[in-house]
Amino acid sequence: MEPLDFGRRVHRIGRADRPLMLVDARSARLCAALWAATILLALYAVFSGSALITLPEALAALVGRGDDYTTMVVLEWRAPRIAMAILLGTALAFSGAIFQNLTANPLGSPDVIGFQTGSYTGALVVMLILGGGSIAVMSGALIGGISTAFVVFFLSSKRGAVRGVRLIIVGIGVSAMLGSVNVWILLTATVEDAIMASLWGAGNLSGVDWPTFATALGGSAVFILAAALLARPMRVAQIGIPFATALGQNVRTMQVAAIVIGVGLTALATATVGPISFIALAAPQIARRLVHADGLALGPSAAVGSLLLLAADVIAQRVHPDSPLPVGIVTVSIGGVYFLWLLLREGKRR
Amino acid sequence: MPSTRSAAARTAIAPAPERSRAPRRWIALVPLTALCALALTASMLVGSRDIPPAEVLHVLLHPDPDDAVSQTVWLSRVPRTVLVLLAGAALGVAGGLMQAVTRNPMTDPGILGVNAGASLAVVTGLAFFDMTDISQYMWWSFAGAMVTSVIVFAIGNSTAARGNPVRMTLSGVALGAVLSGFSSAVLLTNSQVLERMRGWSAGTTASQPLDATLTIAPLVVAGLVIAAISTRSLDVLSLGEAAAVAMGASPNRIRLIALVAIALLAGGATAAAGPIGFLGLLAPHIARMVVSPHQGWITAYSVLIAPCVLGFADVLGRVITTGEVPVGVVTAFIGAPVLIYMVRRFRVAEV
Repeated sequence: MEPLDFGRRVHRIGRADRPLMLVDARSARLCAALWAATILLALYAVFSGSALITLPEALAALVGRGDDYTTMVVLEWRAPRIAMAILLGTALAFSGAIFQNLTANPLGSPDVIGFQTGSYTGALVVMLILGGGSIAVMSGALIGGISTAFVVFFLSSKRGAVRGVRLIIVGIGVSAMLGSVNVWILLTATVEDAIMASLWGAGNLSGVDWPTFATALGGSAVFILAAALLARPMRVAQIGIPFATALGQNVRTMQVAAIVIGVGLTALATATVGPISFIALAAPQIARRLVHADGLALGPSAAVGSLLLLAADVIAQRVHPDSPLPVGIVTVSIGGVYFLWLLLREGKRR
Repeated sequence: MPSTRSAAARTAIAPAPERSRAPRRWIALVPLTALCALALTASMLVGSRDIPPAEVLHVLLHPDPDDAVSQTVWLSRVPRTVLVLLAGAALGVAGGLMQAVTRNPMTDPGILGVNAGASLAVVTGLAFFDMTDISQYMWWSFAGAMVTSVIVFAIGNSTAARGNPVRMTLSGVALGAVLSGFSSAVLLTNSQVLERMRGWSAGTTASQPLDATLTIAPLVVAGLVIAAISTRSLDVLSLGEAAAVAMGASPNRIRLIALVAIALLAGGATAAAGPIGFLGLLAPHIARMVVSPHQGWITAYSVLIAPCVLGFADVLGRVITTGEVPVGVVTAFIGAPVLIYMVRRFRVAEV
């Protein structure tokens, strides 16, 4: 039998007549390039920084042959931070890709529809009004994010159905309300407290250690795996819900599962390091435009998200060595400018 | 010539609703004006200090710089009321213009990042150029609003699918996020500016003295005049790009003029009162419910509705707690539920 022509190069994995998996050639090349860039950047991040460590020293420390000081800096300070950036970049990109697919709209990503603002509100209430420690702040952020998601879905559902555009507009409204609550809470605090809270609110990867990373990894591994399994039914549902139903898919279960996964990933990432905006919005969109895919592209999205967050963190530490910027501000700047450029270039070409 | 032709086209296409709606449009103006006057009066009378209405009227007519009551009225309530009127009208009309230019009912200068651009310009001026006076940074605010709206418009409008609302909103949200990110980078590394800008960045009518408010008045008035002049051509534009060109209009010129007006209005209001959201979304929508799509009437109604909403929101913010809730927070709490109600109640155009 003649293999199907998809109009582009596709690698077939498994038997030729009944392949187990089809991998788009362009997407595979792109993912490989992006992950290679991420690894190179991670290596650069390991040996550069305010403490003077050379590349051989850093590599020796990585394989366990460095002196105490180098080992501490590399393994205890820098490595968990880099690993966290890569993990959360993937988590946020997955969450964004899932929500953009569900709402069939690029604006349907969790940072636009207010889940992260809700997390910030929860964290602010704990930090400035109740006065709790870092664990309490984390739980506050988690509760804030999840209850915001619940409220947004409740308000945008009508006779049990959630439509994309309504979800986004309700989300923008709820997020504007919560955003102004945040501003007001910050106004009632002293300037020092307000700056501290704003630093958390801009997303910050400093001070990440291995236990925090292990918690985040444990929590998000389940969701990331589930998202990967959900990719195929989601792509089918994207063609059309009647079509997917006709193929025997339980669309409703798929949607609920996707929402739980998407909310879970965002809430987890936000609770760990604060609301890092824009990765969830921009990474899937950038990935889509790079691989010329028209829908869900989880692999490339994850690669773009990780590279973006790691690059942003490296820049955030280097640009102002005395007062490092919160990484969220850099992600917004780089991701946003690149995204605008993509939009502009796309407009010119047509 | 274009204006006479478009006027002729309008009467030819829809003479009947034009006639039947006209009295209703005029009649509804009366209660609206009364409501607006009531809001402004309430803004004069209500505050943390209890002053009887008769005394307010007395010190208004006979200002006395040594009297404490007179000081309260002239240094706090009068500037706030004037600012409510100016900023409200400016934001309401800017929202109506933005919706007409983008042909997207769910948009306003806040959503498209124009307020964020104006804020960034003001923050930059304060932090790096030692500006202290509103007459200096008001021009920065205007320039920031202008540059942002032109960029958003250029990106959103660069495809063959002209004025595609999704692209426009997407580029507006993206640009707004980038610009607010820059603003917070400046503010977080500069605690002095943060201290000064904290109240302003929530959107407030409380922080400006009367002469500062009056400084932005020419900007706002100029914007309102341009908006009033361009209503006819925006109506033509609302028929669609092709129809507008066929009637001899030049869509890009119309849009550019409207963008200048938006920048004047949003920039002026943001310089004085900070980024106040939702007013530009709300006012034209309420107006459209009464007057149907007719840009001139929408503009006229927005001029009254927006200060009315802003005035009541401001008064509410003064009395709701012992301290004071900034008016930007109150408008978000009024505007967001209305927005949510609207999307639940009516069919919404795809954003």
